[in-house]
Amino acid sequence: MADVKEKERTAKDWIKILLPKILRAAVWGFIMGGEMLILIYIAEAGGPFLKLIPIEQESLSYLLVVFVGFEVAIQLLYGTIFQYALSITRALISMIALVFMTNGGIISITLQRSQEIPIPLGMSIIFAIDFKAILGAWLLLSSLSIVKNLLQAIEFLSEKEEEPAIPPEIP
Amino acid sequence: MRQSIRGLGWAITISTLLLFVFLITAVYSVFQTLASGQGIGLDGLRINFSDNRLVLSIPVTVNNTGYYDITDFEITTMLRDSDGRTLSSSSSTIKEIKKRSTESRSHNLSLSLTDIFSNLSYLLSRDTEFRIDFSVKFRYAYALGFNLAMTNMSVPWGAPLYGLALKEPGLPKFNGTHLTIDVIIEVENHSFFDVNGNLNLKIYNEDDVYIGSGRGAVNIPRGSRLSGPVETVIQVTNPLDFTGEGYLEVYLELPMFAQSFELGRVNYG
Repeated sequence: MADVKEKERTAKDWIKILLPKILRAAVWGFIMGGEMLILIYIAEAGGPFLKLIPIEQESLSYLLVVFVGFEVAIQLLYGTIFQYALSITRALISMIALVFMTNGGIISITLQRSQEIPIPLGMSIIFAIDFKAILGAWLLLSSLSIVKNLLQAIEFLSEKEEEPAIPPEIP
Repeated sequence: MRQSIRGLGWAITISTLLLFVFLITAVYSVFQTLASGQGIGLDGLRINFSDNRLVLSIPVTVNNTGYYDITDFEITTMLRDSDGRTLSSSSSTIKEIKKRSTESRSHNLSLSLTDIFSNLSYLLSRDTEFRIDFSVKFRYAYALGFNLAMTNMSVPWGAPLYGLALKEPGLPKFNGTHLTIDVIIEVENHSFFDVNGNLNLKIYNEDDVYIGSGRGAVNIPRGSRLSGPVETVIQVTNPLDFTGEGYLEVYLELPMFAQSFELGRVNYG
């Protein structure tokens, strides 16, 4: 019966099903890091913006690309078990990446003499921020998020056990 | 189960939002406090010199205009010589500066000149430079730690006895019991303090026979050279040994450095 229904679907029907998902994925991708990626790659806007973030541009770009990629995939696979698997993976990757990128919660900037910084020769200025407590809180919340996604996945599977079916929008 | 998961989800979302709001307000607040120009005030360096101790004093004022408390505010200074040896270090701490309040403290770095000159005697006669490492660290909102360190700041050191050289004295004047000799010393005081001391002499004839000893006062104001010869009066123990020729052994005694410096021998007559 379901096969008959599938066969009856036209291209228009598929667009109706997929378009909202793609739009939703695009919007969430933009919210969850896309806007920062755009800021980084627009030189005029990204220049002053990046100066405020004491992390290498390349590392930040990679993290954002991964984050946006995961978000788009999660939104496209919304309503499937993959949504939870990807959410857990994303949380794990972001936890590990953040710990490595921030040197365990201590960011240090060393300023040497240059044309922009006319400090005396031989002198250096070191500025360090220790935000281990904030990073700890973030890791705790990420761990809770993993637990939540696991529980959601278990619930999703238990519901599917009762009503086994592949979501109609997945071809 | 669904309700529990939903509750957990909301708890995570709200906690994450609160964490971000806290982080943004704390960072904004601390930079606003520092950027205002009145947050941390170092009101110039003051130098005091007494009892052979040099005290560098920096009045520190912390005006916490932010939304959160500042805790464990600590200023550390370390003075090193040009070879990197530590001469002195000091730390000053303000335990807590509540939000919308101001705290002041004087940060002092003390140096014993006696200790320094006994270990680093070259500082007496050679102009050089010291290195100062300065750091300020504090915790903001009990969660964020900030540390600003300025290393290798250069501070010029002027030698109190720069270019010290003993020249041949004038002819001694003998009155039968005492000798008066004008000792000529070339020296410049490049330091920031006056040098006061005594020139001690031992006089011998050309046959190495001790004739007597005496002293003369030396005063070299800061930033100037010794003007004119140092007149020294020598009590002659045996006038018959004075032949009008011989040599002097010259010592410079500086009470502020608690030691005497041998300047060497010079012939007279």
